[in-house]
Amino acid sequence: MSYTQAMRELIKRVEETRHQRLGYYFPRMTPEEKQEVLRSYHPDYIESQFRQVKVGVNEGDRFPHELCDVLEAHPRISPLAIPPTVNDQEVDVLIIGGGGAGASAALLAHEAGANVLLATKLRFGDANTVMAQGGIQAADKPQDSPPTHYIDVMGGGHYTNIPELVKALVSDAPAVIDWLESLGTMFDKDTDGSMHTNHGGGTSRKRMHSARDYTGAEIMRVLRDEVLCRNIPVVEFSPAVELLLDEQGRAAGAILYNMETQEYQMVRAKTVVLATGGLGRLHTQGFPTSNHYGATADGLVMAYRAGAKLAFMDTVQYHPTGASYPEQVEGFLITEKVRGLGATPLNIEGEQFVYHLETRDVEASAIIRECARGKGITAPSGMQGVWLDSPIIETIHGEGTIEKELPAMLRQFIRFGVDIRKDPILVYPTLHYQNGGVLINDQAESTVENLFVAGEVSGGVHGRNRLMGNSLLDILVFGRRAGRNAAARALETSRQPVDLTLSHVTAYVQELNEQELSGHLTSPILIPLKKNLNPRFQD
Amino acid sequence: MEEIRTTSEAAPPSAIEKESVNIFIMGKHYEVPASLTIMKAFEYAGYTLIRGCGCRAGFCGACSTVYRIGNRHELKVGLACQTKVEEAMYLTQIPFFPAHQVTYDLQELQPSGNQVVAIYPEITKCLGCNSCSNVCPQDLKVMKYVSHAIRGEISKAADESFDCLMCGLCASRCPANIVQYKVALLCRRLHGKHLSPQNSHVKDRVAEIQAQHYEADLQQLMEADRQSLAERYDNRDIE
Amino acid sequence: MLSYYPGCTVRAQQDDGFEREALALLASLDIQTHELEEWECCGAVYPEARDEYVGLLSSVRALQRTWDAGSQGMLTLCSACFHVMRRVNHRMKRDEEAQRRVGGYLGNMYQGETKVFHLLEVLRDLVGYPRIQEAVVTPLKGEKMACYYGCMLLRPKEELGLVDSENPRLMEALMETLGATTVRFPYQTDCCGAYHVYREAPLAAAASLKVITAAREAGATQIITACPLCKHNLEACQASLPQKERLPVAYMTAPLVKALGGVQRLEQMAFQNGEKGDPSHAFSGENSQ
Repeated sequence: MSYTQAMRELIKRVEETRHQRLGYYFPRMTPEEKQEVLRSYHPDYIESQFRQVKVGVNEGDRFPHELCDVLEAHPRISPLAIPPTVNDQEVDVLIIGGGGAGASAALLAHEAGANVLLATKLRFGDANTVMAQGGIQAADKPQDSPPTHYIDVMGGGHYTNIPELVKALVSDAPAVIDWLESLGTMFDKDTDGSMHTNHGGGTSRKRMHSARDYTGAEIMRVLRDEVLCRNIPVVEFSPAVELLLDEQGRAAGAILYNMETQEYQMVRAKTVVLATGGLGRLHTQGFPTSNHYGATADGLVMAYRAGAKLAFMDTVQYHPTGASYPEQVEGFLITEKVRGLGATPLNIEGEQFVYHLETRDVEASAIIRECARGKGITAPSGMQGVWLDSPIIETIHGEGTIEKELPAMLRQFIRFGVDIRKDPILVYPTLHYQNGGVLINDQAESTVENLFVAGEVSGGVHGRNRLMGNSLLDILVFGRRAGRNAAARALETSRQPVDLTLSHVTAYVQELNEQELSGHLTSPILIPLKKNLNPRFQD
Repeated sequence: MEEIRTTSEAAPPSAIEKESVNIFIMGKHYEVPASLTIMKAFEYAGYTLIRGCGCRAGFCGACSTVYRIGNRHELKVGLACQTKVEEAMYLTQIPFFPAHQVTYDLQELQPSGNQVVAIYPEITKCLGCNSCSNVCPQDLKVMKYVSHAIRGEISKAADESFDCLMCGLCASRCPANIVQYKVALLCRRLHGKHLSPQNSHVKDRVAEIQAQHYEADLQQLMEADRQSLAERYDNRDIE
Repeated sequence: MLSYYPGCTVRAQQDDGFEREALALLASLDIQTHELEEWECCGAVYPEARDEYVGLLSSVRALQRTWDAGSQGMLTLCSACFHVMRRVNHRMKRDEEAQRRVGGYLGNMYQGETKVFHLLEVLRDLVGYPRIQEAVVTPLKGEKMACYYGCMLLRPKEELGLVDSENPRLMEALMETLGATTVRFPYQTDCCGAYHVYREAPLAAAASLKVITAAREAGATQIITACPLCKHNLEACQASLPQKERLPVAYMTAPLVKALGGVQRLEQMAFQNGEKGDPSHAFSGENSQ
């Protein structure tokens, strides 16, 4: 489905202005301008889209409705009558989640000598990790440094980030790159062997490491292979549905649910690593999402019932550039690398209206504002968008750059009849990332003892806004820390916890009942709600 | 319980009103909007996918699908999330293929010509039928990278196979029982670890960090108040 | 221009110098070669079964690509590759059923249009011995060459048609052009034991040793071949011999290159002939590593 005739006419304006825009520097916003556009247009500021959660540790905090819905839902299994379980197991470290954070935790825990089980809801490696196209940040070049990286992270997060987490993030970053390379990850390199690095939104140094535009996929397939090569046990299609605590309230395992046989399994563990990813598939505020099928906030729900504190859950990252056309790819992520290579957002007149590498929240808000001003382009499906002038990349860097640097993106659009080397892409913000999550410290510990948390399900490191390339970094830095620390803790614990309980869930249900929250929804939902997947199930 | 406020990402209501097509999922007839991908058509038909659905964006390789159109005999393949439905499409998914997994210790391997053959000896049984390339949803030249692997051209195999999603369709069609995508992964890991040009800047930086080189600066930054951080941030020099 | 089909063994064993020497030699003699963009194993043995077609596919694909490239023909170095390609081509010229079956699968209609050359043929027919003689800078005085053909270059004669399969003089003529003396010896066209080396090593060793012994008794100072497998077997069978009883085994390119001034000189000449502009490029198989 190539562009319609009407859209073709509009694209002409983009083509007409392209040469004037070459080399033109659109001014960055001042701090005041940024605040203004965020307050007026960022979805996080739309009060009607939030409510105070009525139960649990964060009672009274302002969360998106969609998150409140799953937190205030009833458990899938009755805590009073635990269903019969089969193939129960005992391990040192139970890792819940099979993305980049879970895999790196498994490797480090295994290396430390722990007996590990990795349980995951879908296939091992099916996670947002594989979709991270653009890159991973690390301050490993001479002109860069961890403190410089620190300042970028804090500024990007509007100084709300938890300092000890940011310090951990920037300090471990070069070691993470070195580790990945030692496992055989193929990073893009210059001919002299130095890492080929680029800018991302909000970076002051070129520190974005990439593996073409399959960066996350490349990292994930290497980590997965390494886990399998080390014969670390992995159980797929078996999500945890509830955490188990011991008599002292420490994490001590989980109930897994075999989605195919619909049987339950109890896993006792000395320590638990939660690495289940974010909430993108809750579709907050009805936004399309770039997220993986599995991003249904399961870990948040389980950890919250177990008493773990959540942080920054009132802020969600909307990636500025999700596809608006063709219809089949609505919500697909257009990696920030496209803008990193020089593509700029343009309105219906073919005019640039925002510097192309503002932080994601600012860039997204500016695009929403441009459309609200009536300067957006309307796709045949009714969806709004602005142009992202991808062909200018070839003008700037030479013909063939897109094929070389953005093969995945090129392929994805060509499948649906759009050649992004020749025509711009229609984009609108898409729900991309859960900025907050289960509060952790720099050892990846949650507020529940023996519950380690890593990756998107955790919160604090990015504050209220994450920079591109810091989530691949985050999952590996904290995945590794979680795995190492969970193993160390488990190995200093001599005996398996015995009296495992779901009494925390019982107490939670009581709170729900006191608040008269007795809807039909049960959680964790595991699979996105039908109304988010299927037009026949819409309201 | 309050109602869920989410709306559809799948297809806006307008899509339903549009033209529809007849498809056959595992032989069973459904009528679905013509604008849908195979994956969304499954869901429209009422399936709740557990296997065979992943990133929904062409990166994870979970949704390999085999299909055929109407009276035509050719089998076609695609990723369900990346392929549009067509009139008279007969389809099924291949969400799992029991491919052979070889375990090895990458650190012990040598990136030499015979290494890949030693681990995957079956690659020398390639008949040259090219079925693997013909089914690759990424349009990779699978047979070509297997040929490189046979000849010990590890870096070429790594480069040629880079966009592989590991969906497994190649292996499912191979008459010689080669697991192409794992051969490719081995080549890429050998290249990444042993054959790609080396640098020192990463290891140098790791050493500096271990030597607490940045500790004082980071401590100072951690203790800095918002305003002084903001001043530094707003006055950053940009590379 | 010739499309170059390297073959797996030649490529995988490129450190032995066969490929580098051959390509340098041709380039210095103004024969342009261009490696096929994509090629697979020829199968190493010709598929004799008349009712099985899959074994023809990779060879036909390479032959078709050569035809599509518009080149003069396909260059092979390895005797086995030459053998398979030439025979497959021969069959594709004549066998309509094979044309139909293979063509139906590959989506083409290949009818044996491509000409398949062995390096020896290129030197004889496209370059010519007088030209080679002119290029000699160090005549091979005093060398007594035993030229070993083995099977793959010669038989079946009707299909390969390279030379008289019972009394070949092809390599001899070439070596004499270089100023060397050649020796006649029995078993020149016998089998070296071939793939039996993998399953019945003693059998292969006995066959090869017979060749070596005969050559030595005829007074040879070295034995040359055009086949990687022959070379392997001829060398392996001598492993247990005392050093002084061993007969050096070389590819037929080695004396050629030596007589013409060494591989580096030839590469330099090739560079001056404008071959690709980069002398290292054309001769390095795995330049990406």
